[in-house]
Amino acid sequence: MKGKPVNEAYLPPSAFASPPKYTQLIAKNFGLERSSSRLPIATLTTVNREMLALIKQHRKGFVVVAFLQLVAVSCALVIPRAFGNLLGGLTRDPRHVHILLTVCIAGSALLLQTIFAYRTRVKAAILGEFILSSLRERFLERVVELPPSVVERAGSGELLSRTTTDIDHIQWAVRDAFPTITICLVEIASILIAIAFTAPVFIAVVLVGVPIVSITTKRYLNKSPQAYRVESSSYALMNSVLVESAESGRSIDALQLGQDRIERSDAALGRWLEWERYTLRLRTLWFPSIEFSFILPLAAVLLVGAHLYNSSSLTIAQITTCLLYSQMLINPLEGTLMWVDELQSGKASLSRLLGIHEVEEREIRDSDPQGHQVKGEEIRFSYKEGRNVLNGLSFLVDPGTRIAVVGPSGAGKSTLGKLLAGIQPPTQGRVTIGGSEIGYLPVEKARTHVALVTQEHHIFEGSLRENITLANPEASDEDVWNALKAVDADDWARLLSDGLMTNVGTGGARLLAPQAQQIALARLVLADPQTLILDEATSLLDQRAARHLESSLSAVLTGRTVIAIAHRLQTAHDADVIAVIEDGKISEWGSHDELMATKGAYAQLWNSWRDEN
Amino acid sequence: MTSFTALRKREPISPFDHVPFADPETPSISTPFALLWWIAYKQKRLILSGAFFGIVSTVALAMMPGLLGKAVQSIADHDQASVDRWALTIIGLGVIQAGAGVMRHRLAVSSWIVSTTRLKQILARKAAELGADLPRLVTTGEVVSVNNNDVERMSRGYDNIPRLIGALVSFIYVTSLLINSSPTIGILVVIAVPLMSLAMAPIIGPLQVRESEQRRRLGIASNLASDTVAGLRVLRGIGGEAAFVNRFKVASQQVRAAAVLTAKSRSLLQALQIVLPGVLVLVVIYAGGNLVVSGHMKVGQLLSFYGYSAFLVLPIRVMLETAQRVTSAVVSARRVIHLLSVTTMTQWGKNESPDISALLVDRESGLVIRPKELLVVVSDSPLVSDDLSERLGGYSRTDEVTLGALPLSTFTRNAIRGAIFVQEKDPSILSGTIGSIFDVKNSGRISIADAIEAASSQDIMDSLDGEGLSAEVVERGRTLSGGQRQRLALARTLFVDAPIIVFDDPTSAVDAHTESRIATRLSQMRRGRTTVIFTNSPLILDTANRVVLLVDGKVEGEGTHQELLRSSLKYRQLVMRGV
Repeated sequence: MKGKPVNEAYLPPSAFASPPKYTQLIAKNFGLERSSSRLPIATLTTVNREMLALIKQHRKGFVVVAFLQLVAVSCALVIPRAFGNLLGGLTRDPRHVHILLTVCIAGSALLLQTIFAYRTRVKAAILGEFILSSLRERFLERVVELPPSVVERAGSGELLSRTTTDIDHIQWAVRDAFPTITICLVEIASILIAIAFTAPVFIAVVLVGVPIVSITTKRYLNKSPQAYRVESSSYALMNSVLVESAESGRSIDALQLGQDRIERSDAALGRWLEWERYTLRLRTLWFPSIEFSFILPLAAVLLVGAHLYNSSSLTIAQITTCLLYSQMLINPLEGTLMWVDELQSGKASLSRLLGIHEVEEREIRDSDPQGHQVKGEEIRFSYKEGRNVLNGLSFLVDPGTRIAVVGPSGAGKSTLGKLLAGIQPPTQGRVTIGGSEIGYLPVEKARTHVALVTQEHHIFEGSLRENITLANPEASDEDVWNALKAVDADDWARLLSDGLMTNVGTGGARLLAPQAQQIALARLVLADPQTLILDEATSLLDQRAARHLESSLSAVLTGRTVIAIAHRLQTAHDADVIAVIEDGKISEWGSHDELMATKGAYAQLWNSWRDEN
Repeated sequence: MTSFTALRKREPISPFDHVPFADPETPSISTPFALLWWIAYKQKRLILSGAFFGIVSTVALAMMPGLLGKAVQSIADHDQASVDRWALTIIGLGVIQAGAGVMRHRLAVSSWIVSTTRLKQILARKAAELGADLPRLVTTGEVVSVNNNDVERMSRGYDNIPRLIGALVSFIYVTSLLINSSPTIGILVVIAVPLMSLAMAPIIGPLQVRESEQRRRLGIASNLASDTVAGLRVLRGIGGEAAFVNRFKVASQQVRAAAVLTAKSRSLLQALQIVLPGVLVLVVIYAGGNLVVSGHMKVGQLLSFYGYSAFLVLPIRVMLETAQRVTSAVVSARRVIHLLSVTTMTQWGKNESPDISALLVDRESGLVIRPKELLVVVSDSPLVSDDLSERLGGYSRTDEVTLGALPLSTFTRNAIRGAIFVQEKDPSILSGTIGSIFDVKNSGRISIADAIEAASSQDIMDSLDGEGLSAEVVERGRTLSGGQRQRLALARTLFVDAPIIVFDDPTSAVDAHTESRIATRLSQMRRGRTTVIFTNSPLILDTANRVVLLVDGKVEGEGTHQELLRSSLKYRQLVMRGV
């Protein structure tokens, strides 16, 4: 019986890399490089340095855990020693042994070991949780400080996957690996010291398995971290196929893609299975060598012990104790190996998290804007080298003017909006507000002068009030209601069960897309900057509602400069000035009446749109 | 693919070579146990062979103390030849244990993987069967959590079976050895081990409660983090970052507190696993020591007894773990069953050949759609157009709409989907290349290039990574603007070229320039086919053969655009733009 072959046609090219031949295992074959293009990934050196810094920072915690574990292990070591002595005594002269005493000593040691082992584990967990929480909190702090241009470029997807998948992935590595490895290393060291005290000759003997383990482990660790990383991402992608089917059920049904989805899901499963087979193969080679190398020292201790017992250099007590000690070594050794493996696979995620810290700071040229005049001087802009989106725009907007920007899709309107809002500076030329280049001002200062609302809307987890008062948490309820009124949202807002305190996030009142757009505009009204850029900010409302909203909004925005990018021509009609943008250039500039008189592109469009032909 | 085939040749055939299944079959879903049993029965060979290797490897481990005891006894007796023999036997047993151990691991992992695969395949088929009903009947959250967590938890139960059976058999083996050498100690152990397992049981319940609380808290925190990141563009534009970071910090600290509580329970369980078997070992030492003194037992045997009783911590641990996994597997099986028992609400019949040149009539609104016309419907409420377009396509209340006088409910679902295509208000773009978006059933009349041209979508490809049709759309097109998504969906619908197409406001997010271009090309492309468009846009109304005005969900007038402009004040209010 053979499984369904993987249908490559159903796999997006970048999503699932095939497992490489094990002889040519190179990181880039794993398809790990791709998503990095937009946000930096920290180098291995940085990751190692940061991990070390993390340990140093929590030095005290590690010392406490190590100390507690030392006590626990010391107690644990008493038991085999006492038992070994008992056995030695029984061999020599069974009548003069104190069995009860041995049991009492071992019993007290056991009690102490239990108490300290409990304390160690609890402290280690607290330490691990502390490191993990400070790491994730620092990450989010850094993310919200990213320059707006980086946020725009990276897209929410890449940042989101670092925030969720990668933080999830390092959980084990950071929270458990560091403390557990500390515990295991202390245990190994203590046991070796105890062996040295019991019979130094056995130190060399119990280490007989080390060469085997180190060779196979090195080979394993060479391949495993990347393999597990891709395996888990192929698992996540496999899951996402079904999530997509669930969310897009209607479109899938309409397009009769049901069978296609099944095949796509099977193909994704198949690719995940290939990775599972590959990693299982890695473990198949590694596990037996470890298990065997744990048994080998037992035989070695017996053989060497017998030899030395015959020459009377060792007693049965010493042999038994060391035999039991070398059995005790198995658990911490296994633990260390497993967690080193986990740590290795966590590194890939850690490097993606720490990469955020390597985002280059944006260039700041601080100055204080004088006045509110918006000016563009020979603006050019390109996303890809040699392909200009904006091709030399110059204009001057006096404070209080309402400008409408119209033009065909792809003409560069949204790009212009971003430059005017200072999200990033133009490639060539200058965009200034009050004489200051807006793209170089510190973000906090820039947004007191200009704000941008696009058609992309987002309702945050929390209450309606929290969603509106982002920029102005101190705003009074009255201010919030006024802002809602200005965007025609007060009617439906008053119907909400808890008024402003109604939860509008997950599980709360579900807001429709047009309502989300109204909220975005209400935020802007409360933020109250002098210059507002609205990029299709009312596109999701139906046309009459949009029209009404725009007129009530303009009533509160008197004296403000409003630059509205719009596909609805009524917005243009109501504006003081209309800028028609075509192919990255301003092709027409003037009021509605002026442009109608010139009978250019705008006039033609208006006529067909108004249906006056 | 080739590289993997090459790899396969050198690799021992893996035990899950037969998945994904060509057909995952229909599970029995009467009770959680029935489902768990059905899956186990389907992979009985994997489970049984896993159990075999579980027994071999665990018993090999359990034999170790006996061998060590005999070897030490030989040393004490100065019997070098026996020492050598026992040492070699230990090495041999080590090889067997390692070999059987890794086979057990392979088969246990395979059991888990095969069960996961089967369940995920079953879920994927269920999703396809439900189609448009799926998002209406089940929340995405539930689908996600069943698919990601419950399938995993159910399958993890099978992963444990080889170890459980190995542990049980080795427990019987060890206790029978003990009873043989010393009935008192043996019986003591037989009674003590289950008692110790029971003693730890009361901690498991609270531990699981704390674990699920921790998961819940973690879910809240990661939700807040992704919420902040998803809205980052808004935050960076308008401010308020500090409040969001603080909110996350509070949630993150709550996770930490919950995790510490869990860790305390877990550490307590681990501590009990040290002290309880430890006490057993001490009792055995005491009893055994006295047996040695009285000459009823040899020194080596006492060492074996020590080893055996220390070994018994393993069966205890495995039994506890199994109890935990079975509990959560049953809970998860219940949730999987809930999802699998959802059935579609829409009624369908057996007729496979709808007459596409007949009248399509909606009884409730009185809307009549004639074959081969371009009909534009102007409605005073967007909700009405939502409902009506859904009905016309047979997505709800299939008995309300007739095609050639036959209700849609008399046809098969596939027949209606093939005949009537409804483009919803916010159509989904599925992740994949541009090429894969057009990999759908189509009439073959219209080329992808023509469809993209008609929807003015060429610029979308330029903004994506990759060239032409191989350009890739990620995140279900969320990185595209609303207008771009809408135009791409329009191109796809035009390419499908169904005999009857219903568009719900297809140009709401595109600019006037583009809209006017699309209106012209759309009417050219649909000439000779039936097209219904719900919109209030004069640019499109101008291209219509016939316009129908809906007020309060009922037909209130019809005619050409110009006629209605002249005759109906309501109509003028709805479509007139500007001042």
